[in-house]
Amino acid sequence: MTSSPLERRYRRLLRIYPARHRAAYEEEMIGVLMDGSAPGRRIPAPAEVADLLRAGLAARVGGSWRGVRGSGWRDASAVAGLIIAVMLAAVAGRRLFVGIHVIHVDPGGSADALGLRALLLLDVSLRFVLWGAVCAAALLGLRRAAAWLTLPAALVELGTVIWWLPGTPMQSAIRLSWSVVTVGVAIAALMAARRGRPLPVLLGHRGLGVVLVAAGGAVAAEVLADYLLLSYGWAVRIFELALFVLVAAIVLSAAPGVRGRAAVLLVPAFTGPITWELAQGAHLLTVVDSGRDLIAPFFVVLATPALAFGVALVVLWAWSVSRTEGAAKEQGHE
Amino acid sequence: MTDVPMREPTFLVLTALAEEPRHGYAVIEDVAAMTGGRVRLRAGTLYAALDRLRVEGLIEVDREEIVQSRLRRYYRLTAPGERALAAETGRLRDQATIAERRLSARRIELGGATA
Repeated sequence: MTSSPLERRYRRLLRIYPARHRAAYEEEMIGVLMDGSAPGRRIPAPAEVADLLRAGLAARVGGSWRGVRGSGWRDASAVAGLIIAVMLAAVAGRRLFVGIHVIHVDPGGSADALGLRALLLLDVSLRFVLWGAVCAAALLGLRRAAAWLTLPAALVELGTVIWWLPGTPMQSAIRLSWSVVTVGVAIAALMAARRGRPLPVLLGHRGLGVVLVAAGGAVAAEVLADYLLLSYGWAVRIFELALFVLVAAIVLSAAPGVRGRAAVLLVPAFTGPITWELAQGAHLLTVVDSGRDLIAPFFVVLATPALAFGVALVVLWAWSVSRTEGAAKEQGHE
Repeated sequence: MTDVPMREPTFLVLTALAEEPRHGYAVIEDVAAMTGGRVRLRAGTLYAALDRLRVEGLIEVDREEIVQSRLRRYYRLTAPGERALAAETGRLRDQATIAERRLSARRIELGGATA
């Protein structure tokens, strides 16, 4: 049968739907659309076009979300959001701790009569308090409070970036920019977790206890490193190790099905900062601003995290497809 | 089935199928007739509802026909669909009863005040 121009246009419009939906309903929908169109009509009515586009896009988003919904992603968001908040609170807390220590050891005399150095700790203090409050709310199971508290914390983070960005070298500017991405993931994760299960349920009393003990251990390690007057490098390594133990405690306290998803959600949050640290450790960033070739360092610092994120998404997609197919096969055998 | 109230298109589609199995275009026509032309479902909205209702097990395919080289698939209400429609109908009836009672009381009060 030769199709009319109107039918061809409807078929083109229906391409907005996912393949699964088209396979199930395309012929039927074409019948309904053609039955409902006025005789002699050559182009679809605008209202019909708008309805098909809206429903088609919803089917695409809903279709991809259907496999995700109710499968632990909200739980994973809660765990990932807590981890990011813990990391940001810990980083701000350590800077505050070091800053207070420096002022205590060397008050600065008349050079700091106006308390300028203390003023410079204002944003660090605010970040520590706000991210700490996010962690506390999340651990108490106050999901909405945790989600909304991320907003003032993010504002302070953003203000810090805007304040420091113009005067910092290129290397630090890149690091500051990535912190915006990390904070964005924290907001998205905790907002998504608002409708999920609260963390005390997810981690259990035992898990909460382990996390709190690990957090106490991290603080104790930091204080001990300072008390023993270890060199800056050693103190940083101990801080990183303590933080790693704390994050591992949170991840391992979650259910097995949640752990993998939480790790995937953390990829965009930490790929940038970690790559930056590695690149700096390997002295790859020293050529930035030196007038030499900029392509290599920019590739390392900017493109690598993006590529890693892309690879993580592909792995996630392949994993979810294999699971869906596996589930479909199981259903088929029943 | 959750306790969330049904959206109007869902309720109307289930109501259309409660009478007899219908194909897509017949559902559109029946809904328009039921609502006095106030609601005319479009294909995108209708098939979003039909797909969701099938996934939820509230409707199922009754039969398929080819009419003038076009596929017509008839849908029918399932037992869970019937229960869901009955529950929603009861919920709407309860709300309507409350509204009606309050409106009557209001009329009596206003009548008393003006008398």
